[in-house]
Amino acid sequence: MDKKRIIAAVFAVLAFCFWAFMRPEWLSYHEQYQMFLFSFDYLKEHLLLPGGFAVWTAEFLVQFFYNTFSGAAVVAGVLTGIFLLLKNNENQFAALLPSVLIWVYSGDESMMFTFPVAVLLSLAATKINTDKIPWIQFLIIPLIYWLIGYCVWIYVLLRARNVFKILTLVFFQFFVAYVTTRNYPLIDIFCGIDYYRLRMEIPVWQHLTAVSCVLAAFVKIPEKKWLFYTQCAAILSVLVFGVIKKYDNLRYDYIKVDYFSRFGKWESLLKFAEKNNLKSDFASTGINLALAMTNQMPDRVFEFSQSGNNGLISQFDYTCFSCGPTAEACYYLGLNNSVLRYNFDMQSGILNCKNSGRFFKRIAGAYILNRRYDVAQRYLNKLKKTLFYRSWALQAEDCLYDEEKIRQNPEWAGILSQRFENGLNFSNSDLDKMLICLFENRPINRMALNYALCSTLINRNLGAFVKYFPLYTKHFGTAEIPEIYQQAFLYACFQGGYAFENMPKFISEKVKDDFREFDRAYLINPKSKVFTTGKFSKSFWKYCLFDTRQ
Amino acid sequence: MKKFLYLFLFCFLTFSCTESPENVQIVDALPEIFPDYEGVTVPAGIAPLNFNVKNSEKVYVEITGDDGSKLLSSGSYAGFDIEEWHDLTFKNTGGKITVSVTVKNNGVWKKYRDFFIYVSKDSLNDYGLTYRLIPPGYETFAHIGIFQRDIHTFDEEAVIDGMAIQGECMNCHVPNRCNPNQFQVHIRGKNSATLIQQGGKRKLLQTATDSTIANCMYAYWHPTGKYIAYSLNLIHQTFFEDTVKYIEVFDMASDALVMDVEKNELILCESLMTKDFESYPVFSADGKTIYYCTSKPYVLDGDLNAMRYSLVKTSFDAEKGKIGPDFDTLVNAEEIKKSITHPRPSYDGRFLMFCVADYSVFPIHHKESDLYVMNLADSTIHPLKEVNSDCAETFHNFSTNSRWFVFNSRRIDKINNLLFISHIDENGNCTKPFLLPQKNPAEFYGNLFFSYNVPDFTSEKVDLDIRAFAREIYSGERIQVGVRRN
Repeated sequence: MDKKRIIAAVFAVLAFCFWAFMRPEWLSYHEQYQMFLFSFDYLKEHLLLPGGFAVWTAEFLVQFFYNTFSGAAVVAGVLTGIFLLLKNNENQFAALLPSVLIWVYSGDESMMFTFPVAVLLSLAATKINTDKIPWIQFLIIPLIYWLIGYCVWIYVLLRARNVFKILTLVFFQFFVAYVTTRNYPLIDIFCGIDYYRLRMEIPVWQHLTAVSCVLAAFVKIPEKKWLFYTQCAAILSVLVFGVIKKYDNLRYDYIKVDYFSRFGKWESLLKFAEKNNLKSDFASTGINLALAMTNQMPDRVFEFSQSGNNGLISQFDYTCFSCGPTAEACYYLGLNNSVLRYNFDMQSGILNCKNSGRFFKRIAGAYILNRRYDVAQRYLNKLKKTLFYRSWALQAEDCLYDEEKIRQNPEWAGILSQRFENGLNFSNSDLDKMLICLFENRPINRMALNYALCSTLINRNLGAFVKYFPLYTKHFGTAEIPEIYQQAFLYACFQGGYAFENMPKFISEKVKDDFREFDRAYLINPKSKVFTTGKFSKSFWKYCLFDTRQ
Repeated sequence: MKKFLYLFLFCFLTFSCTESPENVQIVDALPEIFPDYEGVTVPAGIAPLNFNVKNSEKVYVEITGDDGSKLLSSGSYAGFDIEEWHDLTFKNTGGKITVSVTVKNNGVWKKYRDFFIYVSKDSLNDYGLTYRLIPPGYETFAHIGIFQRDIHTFDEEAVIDGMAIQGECMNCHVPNRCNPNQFQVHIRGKNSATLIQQGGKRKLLQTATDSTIANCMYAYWHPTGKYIAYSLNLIHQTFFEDTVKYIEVFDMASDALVMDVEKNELILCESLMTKDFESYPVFSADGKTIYYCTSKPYVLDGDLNAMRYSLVKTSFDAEKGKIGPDFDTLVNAEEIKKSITHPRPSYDGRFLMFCVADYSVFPIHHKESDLYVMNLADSTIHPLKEVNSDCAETFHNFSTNSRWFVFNSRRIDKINNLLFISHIDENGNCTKPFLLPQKNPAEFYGNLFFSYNVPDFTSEKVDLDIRAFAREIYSGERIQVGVRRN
């Protein structure tokens, strides 16, 4: 095996492991903002735009991100392919640089996979032999531009460094900008449609990577052993420091929380939250949902940072990302119209106007539960043309107009029995009241009651807690009352001047003893470690008296 | 050999493309077609009324004008050539077209009862429609766009869309009496601005002031183009967990005023800025009257029926830019226990059309919302029975000659608002409306994930330099409007 192949193999394995085991959430994030359709119309609408073929190809590949391992293989394949296509037999590390730069640049979650795919296609185009008919490049260059967009410059600078050919390209780009594609910003026409999720801005990384592709083909470094190791170290440094810098930020923590919520990886989410002190509405929503789904709410609710009602069900904040865990929480709570609303809004917030398979699936399901089968069919028709949502769509389609089948569907049966159907007013500020109303109408919906009671505790509204708590004992008895509820009830009694012996019997002796101990410790030293890291650090009493964040 | 080849090709093209019905069974029923074009009245020159037939493998449609001219269509749906259709409709202006539908299903051809499409004597010479296409979101609108559609063909293009100005919500395009050279659009959000374009000149205004409660919102032009009537609304929305009703949109407060477009000044009139809620002001056809809707203040947690708007008018002196002083209630909401919104005067001065719902300031989410028309000559009011359905009818606007109007209706799927056009004669009588024609209606509407919103006619194509507009939006440069007292 020659040196280039060995480097390629090592690089591919590294890339695969990175995306498969370290950053699977990156794959999910990209996949959820598109929906590749196997249809001629879908291809046609892409081919009508400059660079549309690269977008279409990228979307085709990104659909495989739905599955972590196939997604990681695709990313590793594309990056390795770029390396292999860069023709530089004299210096392998220079040829590796563009792939490394794309790897680093990918840490910017707004970088679309279109860009590396366009680089790959551009380099592939350089392999077309046009030597026999030199003038054909005057046709090929506009064609490549139309197919892949901005990255045509890599082709031109590698294969057609000629003033007239460059002028041909520039002329054609202006023609496209002012004749065929007038409602797109100029920056999109010249720097690539869907190369970057945010319009009107193209990061310098894109240009840097493109330039590196061109330079890599010409760099000649003498073959000396020390130079080999130096280059090896340089490339590794760029990769490691670049990836740490680009990937290691709070945003990726949230992307990870969203990823775990999306795929129902509740235990993983809680483990991640235990290791990382996540403090935000977004993270709290995901963590509380994971606690509820693993029957650990309310026992562990004060182990984690809380954010008021927005940490249970967030208010919408105008982006396609902001409410993923909230939408999932609504789904499991049986707040069907809220599922629709949050998913509609996230769908409408996708800045490059793509449809999302993830959101379409939830919307279709919500319409089915609302018995709007005709509208659900419209969404299912799209999902049926995808690879990874097709089987779900076919199963869902089979349930249309058949309430018995819907009731038997394992995914929907629980939600149907939990949902409220007639006129419940959604209110984030009065979340507890809304959820109590839901529970009173659907006493099977224990999750709603736990959310309501936790909402009162998180908001330190003991009056409301005491008012609602009898619902818990009425429906679930007094035998196994979560300790957090006992703590809260005891504290309310204590504030009301009740003696311990007069408190309800469902408050265990252990909880009473704990409170006495807590009270003593608090009087002696409110700054004692027992409140921050010790026995009481996760208690309601500590949250109530110490935690200021909400 | 060549001749043989040509003959073969001729035969192939002729016999393979058009399968004529054989052994036809006669069915004494109307065909189930989508859209329902049976008995509709259309203007000559409208885009072909292509339609699909439910449960059909193949359709064979023959249409015959009163003058004897014929058109044939055969295939998976009934589709007609644009020029031939136009020719047929012009030749039968004031008459009718007979539609004869034969359907093949399970290998059997069935011929249904013929139906008629009436061609009005009144023309519809406007270029087309403008409207907002809006996805079913509530807070984010990255995919929103204002589009224009040639109603004589199937061509649609963007006036402004999310591709040009990313992630910005835009309110509706409001022209002055269908004039494409005089319109306003409001952009909401962090780059908010009110765009006013007159005769190719464009200006972006900041309409929020210390003296007013919000940006200018619902707009209506004075016929001279010198003024725009606006309402300023603090809009709020609340959501329901309900299988039928999802949302209620209401105002926390609202006022009405008039903007002097030449001086960039808001004319504040105390009577239009009371503690009551004033909304949807519009100028009469002669520009001497302002009609608007007003309600006592309400809170959503209280009695929803309090959200009822009366129809009121006041005078306007365009010379002096003066509102009032006389105010007259035309329809008292408390008396009829209904809410009046979206008044729209016809440009010939004959009618005032408006929405009537049980309660609401935003009737698009009220299935009981219907269109009514007031004859301004004698102030009589009647519902448009031919037009209304058991779903919401809202956001109507007249054509330049006031003989046609377009409106939103949810009657097709109860979720998305689609556009219907109807004819109204000089006595206020309407005809059965027709759904905006599409090349393959079932396919088009079956794959539509957007609602049509606030449609209006445009006499010519709207010409807006989208890129220049986008640059101006993002530049942040705005003309701050001033205020003056009435």
